[in-house]
Amino acid sequence: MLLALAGLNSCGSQGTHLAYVTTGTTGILAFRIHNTSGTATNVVTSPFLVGDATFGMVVHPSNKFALVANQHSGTISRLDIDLTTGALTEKLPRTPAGISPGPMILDSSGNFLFVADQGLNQILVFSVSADGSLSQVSSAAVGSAPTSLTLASTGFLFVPVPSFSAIYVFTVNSGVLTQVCSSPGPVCLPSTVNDAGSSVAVDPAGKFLYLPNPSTNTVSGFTIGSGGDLTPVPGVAFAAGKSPAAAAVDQSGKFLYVVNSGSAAISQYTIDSAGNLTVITGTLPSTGTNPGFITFDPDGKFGYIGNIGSQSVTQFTINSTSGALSTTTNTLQIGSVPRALALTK
Amino acid sequence: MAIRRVFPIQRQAAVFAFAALMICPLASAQSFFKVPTIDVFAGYSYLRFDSKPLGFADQLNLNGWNAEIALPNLYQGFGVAADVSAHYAHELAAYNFLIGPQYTYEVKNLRVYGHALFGKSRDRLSFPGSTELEPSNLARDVALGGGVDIPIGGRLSWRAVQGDYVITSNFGGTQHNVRVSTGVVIRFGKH
Repeated sequence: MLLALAGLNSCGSQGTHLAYVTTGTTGILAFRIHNTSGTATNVVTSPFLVGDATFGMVVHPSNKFALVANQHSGTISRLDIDLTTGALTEKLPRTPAGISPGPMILDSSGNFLFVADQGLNQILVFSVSADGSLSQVSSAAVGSAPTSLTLASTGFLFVPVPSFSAIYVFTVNSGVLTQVCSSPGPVCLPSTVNDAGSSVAVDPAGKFLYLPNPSTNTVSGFTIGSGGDLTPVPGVAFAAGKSPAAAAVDQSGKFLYVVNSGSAAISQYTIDSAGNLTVITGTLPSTGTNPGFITFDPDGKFGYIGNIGSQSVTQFTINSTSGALSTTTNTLQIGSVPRALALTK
Repeated sequence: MAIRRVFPIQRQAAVFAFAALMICPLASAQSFFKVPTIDVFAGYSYLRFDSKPLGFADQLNLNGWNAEIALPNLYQGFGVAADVSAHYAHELAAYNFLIGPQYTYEVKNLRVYGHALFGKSRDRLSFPGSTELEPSNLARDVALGGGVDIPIGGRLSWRAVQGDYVITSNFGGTQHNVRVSTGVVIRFGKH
């Protein structure tokens, strides 16, 4: 009998990771994702109600805790992750973080947290201790509401500010932000663009930046200089779908994906050595309605697109050779507007 | 007219009492007022719980107890068993309340039996959910299995093993569990 019990004990262990979706006032939904098949199982006790109006969320590289922005109360909650059950347990107290914290990003080491405050129009930087407690290190002002944060491997932080038609670039040194000025002069100005989407994509090498242009249905490319300066790629404004909203480069740096909020479709491109884009031909994978953000899992195997209109998250696989995305059947049904997605490793 | 609320555990007891009332006259008719054989079992139990449909990373191993009262030989080896078990792990407690037919066959001083038990299970998660501190659910429960009793002497037997395939339907999913029990059986009535 003991042998039988041992046999039972050893079977059935397969790799999974967790996906957390913030939904504003209805809490954080949790799903367990199979590493190979992508099959998603709802964590039965979610949504987890944390703070109020949860927005940006990140999972620490240790997988031990997550941090989530409570937009209405101007705080950040730290949540212990139970990898066995998928449960989130908040550890109080919450950390004050401006007046309207939104999108967040962690650096690759997990030592610094960057928060876009859409009320103060600032970027707040916190140091992150091993247990997830935060202490503010610095802040930097941007002209209007920052809509996303993208951190390049070269140490630059890119912040699109669509209502100001600008991309702010900062160097990061031990959590201290220093703005990169677009031109010499008495006033340090950001890089202005004609038509800025809510997010930008940077390749893993930190050489190119891509910006969706929602008004002109195009995507612009820029080379990133050694000082963080942005120079348009010649022949800029590659055609995209209707109202491109967000962009992401895959882990290989060979492919760019742009979600089109107006056409429920994804534009797919290969990136050449000069940063030029070539459309990947074939059937365009469809999303839910009004896709608003795109992200990849830490292994680069699956992509996820948050659909604002259909209140779901669409899962994709990536063909590592052609770059083409394929929709899986594992759509995550959220039941309210998904605002951000965070994944464990 | 006010309808009194009946707790789940009371419903289980009512179902058991009703079944006993239905069965006892049959037993009486068979034995003409002789007390039927009654087996009372209690012992250790292990449950391999299929927790993946609840979003867990893996199956859970639970330990606990199992108790059973059976009328094993109402008619040519056919009888009835009422079974209660509780299993515990750090993340979950699982309770089973079951009753159903059982067939017992004696061979070479062993009592081998099989049963099909039906009832309810309650699973209680030991961590906060969105609306409850410890979310729990009561749902359909079916156990198909059997076991082997080895008489030790007098009224005592050792239930060497009882194995059950336990299907529960908690939290909107279906769990395929395995339960293994062992312990002591005391026989009352004629034996």
